[in-house]
Amino acid sequence: MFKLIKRNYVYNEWFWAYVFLAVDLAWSTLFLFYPMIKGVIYSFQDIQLQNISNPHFIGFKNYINVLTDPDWWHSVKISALYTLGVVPMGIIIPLTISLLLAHFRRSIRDFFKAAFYLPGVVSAVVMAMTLKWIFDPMAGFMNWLFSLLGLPTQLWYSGTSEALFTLILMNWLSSHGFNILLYSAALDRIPKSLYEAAEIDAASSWRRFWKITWPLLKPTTLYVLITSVIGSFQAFGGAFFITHGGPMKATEFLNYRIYVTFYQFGQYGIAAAMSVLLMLMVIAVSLLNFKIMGSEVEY
Amino acid sequence: MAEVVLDKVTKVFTTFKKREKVNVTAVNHLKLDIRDGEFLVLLGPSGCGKTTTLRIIAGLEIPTEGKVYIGNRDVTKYPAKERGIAMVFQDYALYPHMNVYENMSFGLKNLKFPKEEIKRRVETAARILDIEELFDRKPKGLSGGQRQRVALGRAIVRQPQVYLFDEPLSNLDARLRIQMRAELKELHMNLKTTSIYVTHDQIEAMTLGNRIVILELGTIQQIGTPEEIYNKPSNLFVANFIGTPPMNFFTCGVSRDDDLKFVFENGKKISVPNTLKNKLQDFMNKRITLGIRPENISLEKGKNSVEASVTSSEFLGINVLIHFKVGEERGTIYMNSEKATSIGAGSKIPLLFDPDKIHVFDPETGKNIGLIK
Amino acid sequence: MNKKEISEEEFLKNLKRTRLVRKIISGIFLLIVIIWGVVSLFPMYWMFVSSFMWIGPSFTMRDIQWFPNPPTLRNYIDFFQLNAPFWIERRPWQRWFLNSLLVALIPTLSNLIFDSMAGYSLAKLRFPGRNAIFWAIIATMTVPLFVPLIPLYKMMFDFHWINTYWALLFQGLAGVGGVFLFKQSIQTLPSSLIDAARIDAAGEFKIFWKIVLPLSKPILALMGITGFVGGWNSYFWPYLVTNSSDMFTIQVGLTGMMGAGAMGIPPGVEAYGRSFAGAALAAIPVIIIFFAFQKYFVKGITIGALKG
Repeated sequence: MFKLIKRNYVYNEWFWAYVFLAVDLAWSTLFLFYPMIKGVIYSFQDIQLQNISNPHFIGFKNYINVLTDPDWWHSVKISALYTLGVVPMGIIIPLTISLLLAHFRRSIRDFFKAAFYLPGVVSAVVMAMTLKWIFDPMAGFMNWLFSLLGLPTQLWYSGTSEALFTLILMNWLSSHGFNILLYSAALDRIPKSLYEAAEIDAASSWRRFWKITWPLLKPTTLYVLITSVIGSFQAFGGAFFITHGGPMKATEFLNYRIYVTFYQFGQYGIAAAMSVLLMLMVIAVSLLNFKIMGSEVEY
Repeated sequence: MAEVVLDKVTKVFTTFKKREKVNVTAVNHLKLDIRDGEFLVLLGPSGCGKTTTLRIIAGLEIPTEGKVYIGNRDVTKYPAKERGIAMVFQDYALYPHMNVYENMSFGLKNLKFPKEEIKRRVETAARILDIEELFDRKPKGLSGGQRQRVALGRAIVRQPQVYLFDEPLSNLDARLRIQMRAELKELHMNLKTTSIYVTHDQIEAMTLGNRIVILELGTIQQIGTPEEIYNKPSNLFVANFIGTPPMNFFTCGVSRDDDLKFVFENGKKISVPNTLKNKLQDFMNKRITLGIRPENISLEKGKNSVEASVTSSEFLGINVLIHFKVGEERGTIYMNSEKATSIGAGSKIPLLFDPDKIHVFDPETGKNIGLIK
Repeated sequence: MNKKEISEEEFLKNLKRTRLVRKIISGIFLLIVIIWGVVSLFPMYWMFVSSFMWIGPSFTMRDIQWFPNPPTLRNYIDFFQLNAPFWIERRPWQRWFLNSLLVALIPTLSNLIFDSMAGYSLAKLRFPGRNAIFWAIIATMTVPLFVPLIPLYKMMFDFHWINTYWALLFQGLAGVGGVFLFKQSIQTLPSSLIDAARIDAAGEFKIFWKIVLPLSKPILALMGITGFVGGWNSYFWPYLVTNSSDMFTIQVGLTGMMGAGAMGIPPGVEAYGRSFAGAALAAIPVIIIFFAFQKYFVKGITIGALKG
């Protein structure tokens, strides 16, 4: 075998290519590809914690169960609302900030970029704890600030009608560092000569933005749009750390629902069916995004 | 030292264009004998398959069909390291993280040469190339010319049977290129090692090559010495590709009055040179393409002169380039500027073609009719 | 267009005015940026401040101050349980930090080795199946977490790996994203270097080890740093596969202290104080790393995400 490989150098390159890939491939197969397929299989099985050694196929029963459950559709609605609340700001804020930053010297830009990105390196646990504390209805900073300003204090995440909006607000306040860097990098890549040419053509700064900056940022915007839609549709941390899906299921995101079904109720088959459905939704939404933006993200 | 033989070498690349499989034949049934100690230049426009051919000889690419022999050994399936070749790359491919000495000795170390031998060889090569002072520098700190020399040095220390050059001078500025060209020539005369050199620059090809192979679309158009290629182009492609300014072409008919004549589109007739008369018998009353190099036209009025009108002229120092039109066909004359002082745009001039330098091509096959036996 | 004649005086006046307007505009811009900077950094400030603020069971809004006066170390003492009576079960915080360190280091190291190898293979070697493998990797990057997670969790059970280091450390080794980034980065190395090394008689592994890896130092550093931070910060998998306190990571420990993730009845306000002491300690290493290697974080954005 080795002799043969040695003699023919084409197979030598193949051989080494597979050797280099071997560990990662084996590992991903065992801990990623195989569980993924298994996850799809689970979704067609009656498999629960109580009766884990005896799974059997039950066709689409799990899916029918999920799709006829009003709670599922409630979660779809909650996740969709959250996505609608989060995504536009997830583009507007980073874009605005990086456009403003572009006016300043490099040193100032770098300083602020670091400041904006810093909260992103702190763990989700710490960040969620802190935000929960800031928005605490009894002893939180926000209500303190509100009463200082003479505004009525709020229930924030512990009010049924406010909880979802509070989580959206937390997202607005906390998670734009990465996208600011992304937009800033994209702005840096736009050749200065384009703006100079536009200035000679006496284009107003408004027109310059719509005719030069915006079209050239389109791939970045599409990337940000898709990743933030996918991300917020699968939101989890807020419900997990802060609200526990409540109050009264007001923040029971799809992923949180799946987590509860799987981890607390031990209904593996149903949870698997839910996650497959979530996957299909994510794929559909991303395809839709591609269609709407009409451009392509280059990998 | 060794000879290199390519036996019907074919290379097909499979690529995907808009999700459809596309097969591109980069090299098509190439047959080539490269003699021992020869400096052979593969010349052609970009995409003609010359670099692929070189990479096949190097062992960086496997031919889809055919065999490669180096020094009578069938090396088709040998990896690069067992072929006894060394290669100089277009971008030099110096290892950026190693200094000059490490760059030059990397190959010998891999081949498990003893330390002293490596040192001796690297120092000898460095002396030849005058780069002994640079041993401790990284490629980043070298000028273009110095990088070029290190890349050459890396090849020389291997003492290979065959040198392969992949457009090694194309990243240098014009002045340095001329200097390195001369040095390469000198180097080859001293080492007398078989060398295969790929370029798209015909001047490099002419000055360096013992023989030149002209490639187009993966097939050989002509093999020959620089003189043969220039004076006896085998077809329209070669005639058009070689020579600056390029050869002039006119569409002519062939007819017989009292004698065999070329008939220009504007009706002017000139005599067919004696050497071509026999060959043109088959082309009676057919169209041919007449080719004449710009430097083989003189401005004399005579029985065989053709009238042209000047469209512009470019002064180039000792020579002048005159653009003219015969009927609707354009052409150029390249001549001593002192003889062309009074020629300006719009003036009418007589063109006299040097009869020995007239080439005649079959417009359908492109073949040089004068060379058909 | 007809240009109006203007005097030099007028011209200078106009020029001054335009300059003033520009200055005002850029002042407004700076103000907005500063305000937003304050808003985004405020949670971190508040976390550190709260860790030095005494938060008793009866703490309310009225006790809030911009800066704790006087600052107290009581939260830290509580976190380490320095004053706790002997019969109270100890919080194994040393183990939490140790486990976090292991989760941050070991998967990252193995990812550096194996992902760089796989990335090189996909970037520069030619072999059948290359595109299929690459697209499989891209595809798995978009699959939601829970699809493989449920069977994986059951697998941990079947292997008897729950609450062991096997589960804690091994699953993290299957990082596909890393392969993608390595591939993107190694692809930018000139192929002629690899050709040259082949002609220089270097074997395929030697080419990887002596040519590709040394030239991949920036991406190795980037992956090492972000991998460490990502591992240190990870909470969900460690939370799922551990169930005894001494197997927790610091993140899981904090989750438990806050009663998040439905691990128990949510504790009262007084839990915040000691939790923030722990949170501050958990955050400090990654903040130090961030400031030390800032440029890699910024660079990392442009490598993998997108071009053009």
